[in-house]
Amino acid sequence: MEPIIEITGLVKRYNQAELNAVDGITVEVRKGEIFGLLGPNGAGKTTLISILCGIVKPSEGQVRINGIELQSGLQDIKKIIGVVPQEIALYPSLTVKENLTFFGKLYDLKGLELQESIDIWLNKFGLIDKMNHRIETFSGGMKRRVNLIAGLLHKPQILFLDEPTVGIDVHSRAVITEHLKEINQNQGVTIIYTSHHMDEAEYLCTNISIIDSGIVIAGGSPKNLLKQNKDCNRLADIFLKLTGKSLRD
Amino acid sequence: MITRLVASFYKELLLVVRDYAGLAMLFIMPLFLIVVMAVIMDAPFRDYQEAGIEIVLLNEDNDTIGNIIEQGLIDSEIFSVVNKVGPDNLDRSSIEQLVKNGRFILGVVIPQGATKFVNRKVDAMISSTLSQFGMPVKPSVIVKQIDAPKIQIYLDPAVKKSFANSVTSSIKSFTTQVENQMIIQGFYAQMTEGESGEKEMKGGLIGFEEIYPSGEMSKNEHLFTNSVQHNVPAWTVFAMFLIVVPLASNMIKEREGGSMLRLIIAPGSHMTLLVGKLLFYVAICLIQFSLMMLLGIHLMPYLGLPALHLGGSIAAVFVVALMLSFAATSLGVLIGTIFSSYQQASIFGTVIDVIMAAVGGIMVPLFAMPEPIKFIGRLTPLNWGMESFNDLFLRGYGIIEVLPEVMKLGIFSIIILLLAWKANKNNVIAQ
Repeated sequence: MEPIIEITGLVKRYNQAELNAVDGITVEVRKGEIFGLLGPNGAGKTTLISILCGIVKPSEGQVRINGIELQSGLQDIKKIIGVVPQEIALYPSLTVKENLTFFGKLYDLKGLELQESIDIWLNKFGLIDKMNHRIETFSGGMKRRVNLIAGLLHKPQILFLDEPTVGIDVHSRAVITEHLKEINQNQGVTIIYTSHHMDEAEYLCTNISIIDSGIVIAGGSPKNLLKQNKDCNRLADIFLKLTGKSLRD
Repeated sequence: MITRLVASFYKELLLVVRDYAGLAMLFIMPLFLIVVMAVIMDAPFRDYQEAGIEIVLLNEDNDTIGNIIEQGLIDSEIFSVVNKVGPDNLDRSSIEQLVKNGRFILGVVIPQGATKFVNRKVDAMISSTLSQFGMPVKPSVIVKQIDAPKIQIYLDPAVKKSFANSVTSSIKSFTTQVENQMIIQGFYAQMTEGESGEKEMKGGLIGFEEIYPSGEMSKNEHLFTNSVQHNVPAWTVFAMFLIVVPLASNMIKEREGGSMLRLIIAPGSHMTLLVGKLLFYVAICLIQFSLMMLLGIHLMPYLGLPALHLGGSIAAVFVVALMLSFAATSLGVLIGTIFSSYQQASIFGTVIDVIMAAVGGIMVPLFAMPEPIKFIGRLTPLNWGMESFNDLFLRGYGIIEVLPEVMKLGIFSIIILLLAWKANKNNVIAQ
């Protein structure tokens, strides 16, 4: 499969920081993959995703998305990517429908096309009967599902998910992971995904990069990684083996 | 672009409509502020004009001077003269006590023999003057040095100095008038052997007329001396700038909640969405302004105050209100961009508005301030707004005359928005 994201020697240096947040990462993501970015807190995952979305300017290195140079073609790239941030990036006092209508319009969706898209996703995520309820009345799991739908409305080719299942109940987590798999398989959406749930990553991801201190310390498919680390039975064991057991803040 | 702009405007509308505390802050509080300030500030405007302040008076003289002062105080309509309190007759100690215990803020005692003393003094002065010219002097006039009787004015210690000065000068004016009259009558009597000069003296020598140079509007003199005409526009300007608080907090909430991130990630210019927000809050400011003007026109008369008069050019009033709205909204955008927490933004937004109102002449007239403060005050958008409304509402000017202030407001808005844009760039796109 052809690469859809090509990252070469990427560095991000924040002012007055002792270490680089991203320190020379070179990674390739192929079209149609679910690519897992795993790493302890402060490893540089969110910074890397923020660079790929055009929120943070890299200090060095090159990024090409769908063949387009990130720095020069950001506006074109924005049209083909969807982002689901770690925070519930919704307006609490607006209803589900009002939130999704607003975010859909930012991508020039309107009229019937927008309404259909909203209805389809709400149906899939079991929220159609809650479309006129305000976000502030929802549970954490329901908010996460709407947060995810807001990133999918415009049918992106690439979906960036920054810990989409953090702090939610088992049921909501299962619904989200199932649908991510379905979106990937049926619609061919490439997914770049960060998580602390190793079991989830092992189940979902076709390819993984483990990052620590801004550098890639291991990469490959979960199967290959397990093969390479015969003393480990699960991805979580490999993760702890590579990143150590000391606490990270 | 239009879809995004309209979507941003509509989203802001929904956010404001759902935020009841914010709605109260945007509409009810400013209206309440205008009413309270107009009513409270009405008292100083009426102070010495029509307040009908009760004054306790003891006229021991009961002659020309005492009677003229008493009649002058009654005729002035500033005071309501009281000559008897309770069953007992008034005396100096009872007047002192009535003022001391706060029953009256003012007491006046005109001493016995005041008129006789002045008469003797005038006669002596005339005789002395005429003798210098070699003219015959009445033998009855014997100049004898005696202590002048004093008119005593008792003042409540809580009374403002300006009020005390006003009362004292009023009484001095009555006394001077009587003295002058007596001097001229004395000269007439000496020179015409007893004929009175009273007829010629009536009404004084010089009259006064207050003129407010404001073209057509000068016909409506009452406009210049009523609190509504001064306070409603001034406090409206202040209230409009309070929009910085809800606007800035809305922006901070958007940033903290993460929805700002979606706005930045979406294709197209983030500026379009910011313009949508700006236009919405400008519209809110204009609605606020319209409500406050309507309140000034229609509600004030029900509170016993005169109705607000908007001057001759409604179009000019709209232009000033629009530019003022842009200035207030731009400042809100800058505060919302710079500050990272709601608490910081709301405290700063409120305090900066109060400071600008204080130095800008909203609370205290600019002419009464020290020169450095005057200089700073003239650099505040609140002063430009208030001066524009004074030009339109009081001086009878039109759009041409307020154009310099309108341009200042426009330039201020552009500079503030550029600063906000620069700060936003630094905040959102990490370098």
